[in-house]
Amino acid sequence: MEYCLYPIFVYDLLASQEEKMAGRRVTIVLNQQQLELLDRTIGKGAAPDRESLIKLAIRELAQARPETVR
Amino acid sequence: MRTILNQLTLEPGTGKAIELLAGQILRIEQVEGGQCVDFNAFNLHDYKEFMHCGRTRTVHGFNPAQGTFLWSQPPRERALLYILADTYGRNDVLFPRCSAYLYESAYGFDAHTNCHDMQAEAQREYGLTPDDVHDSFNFFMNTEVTLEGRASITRQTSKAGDYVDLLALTDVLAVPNVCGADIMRTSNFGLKPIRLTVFEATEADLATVPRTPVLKSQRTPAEFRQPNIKADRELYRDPGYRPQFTNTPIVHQPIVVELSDDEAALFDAIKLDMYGDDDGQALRDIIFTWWETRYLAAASGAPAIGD
Repeated sequence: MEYCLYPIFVYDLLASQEEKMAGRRVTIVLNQQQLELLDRTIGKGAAPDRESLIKLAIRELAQARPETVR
Repeated sequence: MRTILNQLTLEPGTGKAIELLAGQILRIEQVEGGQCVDFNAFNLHDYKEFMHCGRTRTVHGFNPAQGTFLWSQPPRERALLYILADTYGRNDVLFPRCSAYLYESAYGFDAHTNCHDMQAEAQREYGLTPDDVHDSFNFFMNTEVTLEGRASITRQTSKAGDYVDLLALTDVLAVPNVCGADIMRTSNFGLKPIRLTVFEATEADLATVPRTPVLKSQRTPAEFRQPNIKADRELYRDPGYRPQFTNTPIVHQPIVVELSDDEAALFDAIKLDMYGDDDGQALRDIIFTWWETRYLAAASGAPAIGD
């Protein structure tokens, strides 16, 4: 397991630089309990990996809130 | 047909501690109507496990009625009793029991019937102290929450013959008392007797009880790091103490997510303004809000009690 090697703000600074390039990179910081919940959800078949699960969350929450999506 | 095991009338100003074994039903019944009844319950074999209003209202809301459970406190969190029947349907788990302090501070009484002292006196029969009285489940009590976030008591309309039936799911000491508030609207400014009946539950009664979880997180003293009840009141530090908090240290890990243009547009549309430019926190909120929506069985903060 990787651990947080740098202060959190460094990752935010790196991310903000890369966001100016094509695509959109977002860095989330999660603790081991939060990751356990997500990994357990993946293990039950909700998605193949963490990134896919996160993207699924965006899509499904946006579908549940059509009034907020222009 | 249920077998009656015991019956008594609870006079105004009094309470009674009743041993209610698993599979027995305590009926708390209006004799005249309009009378609030405060209630405590303890595990008969371990008084440190007791009914917890906080957990009960989190699971069932502010007005638990027929079909809900009376839960014990963490880390026990077991269903102690089940409300098998409730002909009135208005109970309260917001208000604490009334006390001598209330009647002296608000009304100037040196002595007045009050639920705390009645509970303490009834529990004294089993060796409990006034400090052991816990937050009461208030049967036949109408309360509301105002827009300003204050709880208020309103008049009630229970009538003669209205009752609640409490089925014991484990052996308990059940302690009802006639609420002592005669100069408040709790019991419409009067004190009336209450009838108590203990029945043996029938198979049909038992068959109506929903299943509740059996989890390893429902702990008993056998799992406590400190299981011994402290005999002296003074608090002093244990020099040998070493903290053992769960899942510590909390360690954070960055997760990088590459969003396509479409995904980024959806993200921007639903992320909360409160996070400003912090996309990481905004996306974290989305992930766990989604998880709640999709997987959480109970209301936020409430433990799941079903399958």
